[in-house]
Amino acid sequence: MLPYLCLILSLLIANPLTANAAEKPSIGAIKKLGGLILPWPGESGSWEVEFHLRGRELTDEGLRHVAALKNVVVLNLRDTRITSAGLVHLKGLSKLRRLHLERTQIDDAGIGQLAGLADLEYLNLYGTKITDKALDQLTGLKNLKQLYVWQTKVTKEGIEKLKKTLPGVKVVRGIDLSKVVAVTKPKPKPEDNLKWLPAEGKEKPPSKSQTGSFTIVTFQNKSDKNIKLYWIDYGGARKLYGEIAKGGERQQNTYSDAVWLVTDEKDKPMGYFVAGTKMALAIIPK
Amino acid sequence: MLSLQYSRRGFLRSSVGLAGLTLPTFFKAQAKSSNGHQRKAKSCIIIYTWGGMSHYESFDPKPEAPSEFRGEFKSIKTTTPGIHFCEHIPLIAKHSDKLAIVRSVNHKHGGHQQGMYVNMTGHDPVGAIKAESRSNWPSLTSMIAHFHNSDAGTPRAIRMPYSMYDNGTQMAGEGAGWLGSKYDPILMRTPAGQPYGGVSRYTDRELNLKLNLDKRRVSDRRTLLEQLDNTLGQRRGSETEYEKLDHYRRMAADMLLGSPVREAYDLEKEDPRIRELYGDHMGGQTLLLSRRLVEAGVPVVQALCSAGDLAGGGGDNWDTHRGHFPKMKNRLLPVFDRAVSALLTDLEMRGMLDETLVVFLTDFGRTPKINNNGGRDHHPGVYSLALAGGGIRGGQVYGASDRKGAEPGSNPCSPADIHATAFKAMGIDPLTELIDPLGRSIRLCESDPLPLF
Repeated sequence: MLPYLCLILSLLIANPLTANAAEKPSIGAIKKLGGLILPWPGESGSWEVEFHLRGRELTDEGLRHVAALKNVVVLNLRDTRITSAGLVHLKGLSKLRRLHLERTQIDDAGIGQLAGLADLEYLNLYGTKITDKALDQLTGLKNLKQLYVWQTKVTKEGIEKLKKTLPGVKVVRGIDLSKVVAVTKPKPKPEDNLKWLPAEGKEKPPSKSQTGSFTIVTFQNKSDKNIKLYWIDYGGARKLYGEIAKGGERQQNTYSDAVWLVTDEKDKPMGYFVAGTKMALAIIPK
Repeated sequence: MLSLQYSRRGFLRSSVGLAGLTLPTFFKAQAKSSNGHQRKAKSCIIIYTWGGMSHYESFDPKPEAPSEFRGEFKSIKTTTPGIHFCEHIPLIAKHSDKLAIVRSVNHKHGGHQQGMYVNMTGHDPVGAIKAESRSNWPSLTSMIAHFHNSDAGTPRAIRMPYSMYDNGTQMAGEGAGWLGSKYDPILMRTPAGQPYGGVSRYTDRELNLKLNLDKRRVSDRRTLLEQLDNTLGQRRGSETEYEKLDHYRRMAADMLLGSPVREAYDLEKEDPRIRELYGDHMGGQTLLLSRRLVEAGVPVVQALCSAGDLAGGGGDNWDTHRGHFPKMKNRLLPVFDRAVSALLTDLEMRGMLDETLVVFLTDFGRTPKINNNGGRDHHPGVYSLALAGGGIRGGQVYGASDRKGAEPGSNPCSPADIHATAFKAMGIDPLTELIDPLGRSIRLCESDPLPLF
């Protein structure tokens, strides 16, 4: 009996997860919320906590469990549902070095809660509602080295002002997306009509596709039923690419000398097209 | 002096390697950053320029060399004083402050397969190597995947948009080799962007997870599984194939059960202006997808920045034996320049660059002398690779080629040195010993990290 007891005791002492029993419920709660919690390497009892992948449903209330941990070194709350009101829970996380708040609903009102995080080196606020007023509240973060404010209302002037008190901080404002004009791609213009080769017709398509050059074929289903579109591969086998509803259209990347088979919904062949080198229209007739 | 080439370790050990005395001390000093801890990168994007990217017309122009070596292009200033790039990568030049360029990489393999293998695996190929063989060395992608676990349902490693082929033969060195299928990167086809010219379709025949993420199909989990069964079913038979099948099936199911990866794959969800930034080309959209996948928690992504099959150097790949200059200027460099600069911009403004390592690899450089077809041939004698992000100090050049760009001029190093550096950035000790299927203990990498941090 005694040896077993010793073993159990030694296990209890050795296992860092049980070393601080007080934190156990919080760890469990974080995991339950979809958070990932990892021991921070080299520092026992310190944690890295992430909610940005599967814990995106996290709300202000859930942050309570993080606050209970104390020694949180990295906290990632990207894309979660937290608001400024929830940041009160971060106030006591004095060991925090890296904090991700990007793409959340937070605004200037919550930033004051971060003022005491003296170890903070990295703060990501991109895609939030903050303005220059938020930056005014960060002047006490003497260890801050990286600050991200892309897609916020922070101005150049605001950054210059912050740099007067924190000359060592690198502030990344990113590019102004309003100056990027997204070019909408013109629809490829068919220059040719592919010949419809009815399944029962005299003219037969090649038994398999050949390699060729890239092109685009727009299939238009003008028949009175839904159809299936098969590519006849290099070995002559059918490969389903999709279905086109009655009256529908499908733009298909293909290669010249590719053979396309059109069937009805029950896979009964209706006819074929053979792609050419030009972009083309392939009309499935009535 | 010849013996100094290739092995940087050899160099350090040789009597000439005075730097060898100081390097270990340097590492010690660098090992700890502020607050006594070292950050490590969480994810890695490997950009591979298949075919062998010319060092002259990218990161190591030789404006002083005689015209038969120098080529047609000029060099331009970068953001970093003293560092010059080729004039046709002006956008990347603006990001030189993020890049560590290594200009003295060399190996001894003049063929694509061998050159690609040594760059992807960090090891010399032994004998005849085959793509599917489990005795191959694992690729850098797979080795990183081995050490970086991902969230349940998120693939550890993804590669896009094609496999590397040379005239119809699939190359060995992209898979997990003896690490096993669990660490094989999942092949995904980039769903958008103007495709590369040239033959790239061989991957269609490959055994892979074909994510036909048609909106309608993705909603139907069974369809994808059926599709997988159809693809894999024909090949089933051996136990290995069955294991693979099982691995991919599970992955497919997981991905469709709401992993953030599924959302990441849908480029339609991206801001059209960001898509524009990367360029409407498969090269650009592949790097955009790389960022999205890394953001979704995939530890390592490998992006092939060129067409998949060299097929005699005919299409858009970097194997420019003929018409080198027009091809580089009109087809290859514009896509590379825009895509890579967009990736670095994007990672930086999202606050991801310090935790995302970007590694540039290629087969080899190109010959100093321009051949009779206006091309440059294979040249493993010296070439340039690069790293960015993930704790790498940008704005530096390590090593140099000689005046003609033919041989290493200083600090010669090998692809394995680049691997060791990447491992260090990813928090992996390059000297870690792994056990291969025969029970032998094998070192991950027989090299030391370069002092690029």
